[in-house]
Amino acid sequence: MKENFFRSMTWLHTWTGLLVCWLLFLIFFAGTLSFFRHEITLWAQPAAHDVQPQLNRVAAQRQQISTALEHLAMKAPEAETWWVGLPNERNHTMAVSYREKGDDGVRGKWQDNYMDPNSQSILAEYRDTKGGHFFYRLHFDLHYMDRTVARWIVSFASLFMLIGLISGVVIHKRIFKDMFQFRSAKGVRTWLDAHNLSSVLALPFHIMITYTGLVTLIFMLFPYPAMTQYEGGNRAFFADLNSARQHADATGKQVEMLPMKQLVDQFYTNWPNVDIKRVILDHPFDETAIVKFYANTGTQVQDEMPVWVYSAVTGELKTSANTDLSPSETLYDGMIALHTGRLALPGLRWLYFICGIAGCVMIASGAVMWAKRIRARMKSNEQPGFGLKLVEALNLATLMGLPVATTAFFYANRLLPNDLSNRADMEVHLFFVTWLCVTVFAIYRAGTKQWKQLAQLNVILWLLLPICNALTTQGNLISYLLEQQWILAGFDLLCILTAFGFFIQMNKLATQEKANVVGTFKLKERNT
Amino acid sequence: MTQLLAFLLCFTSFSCFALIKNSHCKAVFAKRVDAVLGRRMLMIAWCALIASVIISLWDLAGYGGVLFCGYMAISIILLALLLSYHPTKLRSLIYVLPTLISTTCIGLLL
Amino acid sequence: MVIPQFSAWFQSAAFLVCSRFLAAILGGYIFSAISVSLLAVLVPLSKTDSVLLAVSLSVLVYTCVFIWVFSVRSLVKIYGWLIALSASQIFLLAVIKGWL
Repeated sequence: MKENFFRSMTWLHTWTGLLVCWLLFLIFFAGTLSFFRHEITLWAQPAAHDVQPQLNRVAAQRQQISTALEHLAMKAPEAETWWVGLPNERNHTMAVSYREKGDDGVRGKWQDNYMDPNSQSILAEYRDTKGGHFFYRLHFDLHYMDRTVARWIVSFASLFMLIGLISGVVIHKRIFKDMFQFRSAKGVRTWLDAHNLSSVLALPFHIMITYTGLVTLIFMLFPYPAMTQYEGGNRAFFADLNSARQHADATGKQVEMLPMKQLVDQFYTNWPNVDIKRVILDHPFDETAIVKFYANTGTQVQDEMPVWVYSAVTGELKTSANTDLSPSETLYDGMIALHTGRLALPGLRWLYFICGIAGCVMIASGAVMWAKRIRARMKSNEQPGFGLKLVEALNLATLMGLPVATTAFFYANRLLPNDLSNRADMEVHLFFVTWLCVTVFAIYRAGTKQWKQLAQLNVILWLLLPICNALTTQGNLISYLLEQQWILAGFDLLCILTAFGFFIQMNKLATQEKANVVGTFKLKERNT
Repeated sequence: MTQLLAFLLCFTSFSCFALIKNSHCKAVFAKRVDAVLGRRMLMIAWCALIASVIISLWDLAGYGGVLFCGYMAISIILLALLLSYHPTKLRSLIYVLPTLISTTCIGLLL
Repeated sequence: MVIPQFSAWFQSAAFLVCSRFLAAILGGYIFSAISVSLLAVLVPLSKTDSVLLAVSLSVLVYTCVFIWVFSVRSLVKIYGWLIALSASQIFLLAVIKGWL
């Protein structure tokens, strides 16, 4: 019984892993990058590079909110919603956006503008780009497909990941025994060690991120508890959970709103010293106009922001939410906070990033190991089957192709002309076109030589990225370091580090290739 | 500073876990694990690990808990790298780690 | 003639694997959907809290069922337990909610 259990778990681990490993690699890769999504977005937006952080950030907010709301009142009195995103530690610009009124049921488009909080002037020359948000969306919405379908696919893959993790712990009885073992240059053994090491070292992270990842989509996956408890299902449940989410329609009756400054002052007399994250005003100049103040949760393990809702016409406090969470809410919301990692200060953010990379290594080494094992079992005169060829091609296309495609996305950001129409979409198309090219290359052949060539390509692309950045923008790595722009400097340094990583891989592959050539040569000699 | 102490304790714990394994002990000290010493090291390892959890939780609550998971990951990466490429360097840890921990403690108290 | 062929097909590896995956993915999903709904009704918490607790645990339930399906040898036993437990739970749920 016990033996049988281990055997079935091994079987489960292998096949659930192999079935979804490429999709999982994409999810983990994009998800790991999205821990730095605001940093990537900053890099992608040279106009925002020189915005200085505020010295007294929280104290300056009161003035900023009034200015931004007054600006919107002048610019977009007809809008459906106004949105003011205040500067924070990771993002020094201020978003002053609005959503246009839509026609008959179709929601209007967002018009995004950004302000320098120091000079309180609109930042011009903002380029049309998705930046880090692309990777964020990619890791659960995929691309070129319906959102709901994509999320179901991603959830399915995540479930298999969770199953793979648990069965993996079960089958490696000795997993904690060999935990520090890494035997290099031993063929399949080395891959197994890399697989074990990368999974064990971040095992709490892997289980946490997979479980909480499923929890973020849980109301799509399991709407049933809400459906049994509420007549209206999820919608009714959320209305009951968070009164601030309730959306009253505009009546269309035009009224004067209170002066913006007075509204903001009123909020601050009630709640001084709150660190505000964003302010949203619904239906400006309508009799239902409401203004919502969202507080920054900082390093608390809480994802839903406390919110206070005021009427913009009378100035009375209508409702507040998320200021005090019950145990169940804390459990659910804490899990989401752990997944999104919005709470993380730079130190923890890097730990998240490293653990995410460990996850990528775990998936990659597992996938490579499967192919290597099958190859090792093959007799010398045997032709590889279709399955093995497919796995090898997909491995090469995903593991080496994704980094190449990522650089393509970054190059597109720097090199596409600013006034190109649909510029943001073009960047994304270029990402996928590049990936497709690598895939075609990998389908053609996926041997050690092709791995080496793609590693070379990666070295060149990642190394040239900081240079391309220096040529196309005002700053470069040295100026970033001198002016203490750590985010931008970090981006360049990480590119160089990645290039260095691929360089090591290239050298290893080159020696391996040489050994293979000598090996086959000797074999041929013996045969003749 | 408190978090540094938590990390050092976590690292100490995992070094002990690693060194009571025969294969690693041989690589570092070129001899087998002594049974009595091994048992003591195991105890130290668990105590240090628990102390590390308590310190990081006490300092930063939930945030500290997440940090602790990160510390474990970093400790294992460091140890795995050291053990596979420079195992003899680990010998100096016997002196370095207690010194670092005590200096951090003194720094905290002052 | 037909019956032995039929039984051979039922014994084939492909069928056994597919059937097991079906039991794990679909059966496990239905089972956990029912049991977390029941849990939401049973726990003595406010309505919103019970729903949040139930959905937070749903992935755990699903994963456990999935692993269990792959650890038990006999397929008949798996389907038997899944169907029996789901049916009794949905009956209980119907009694509590007064759907009958």
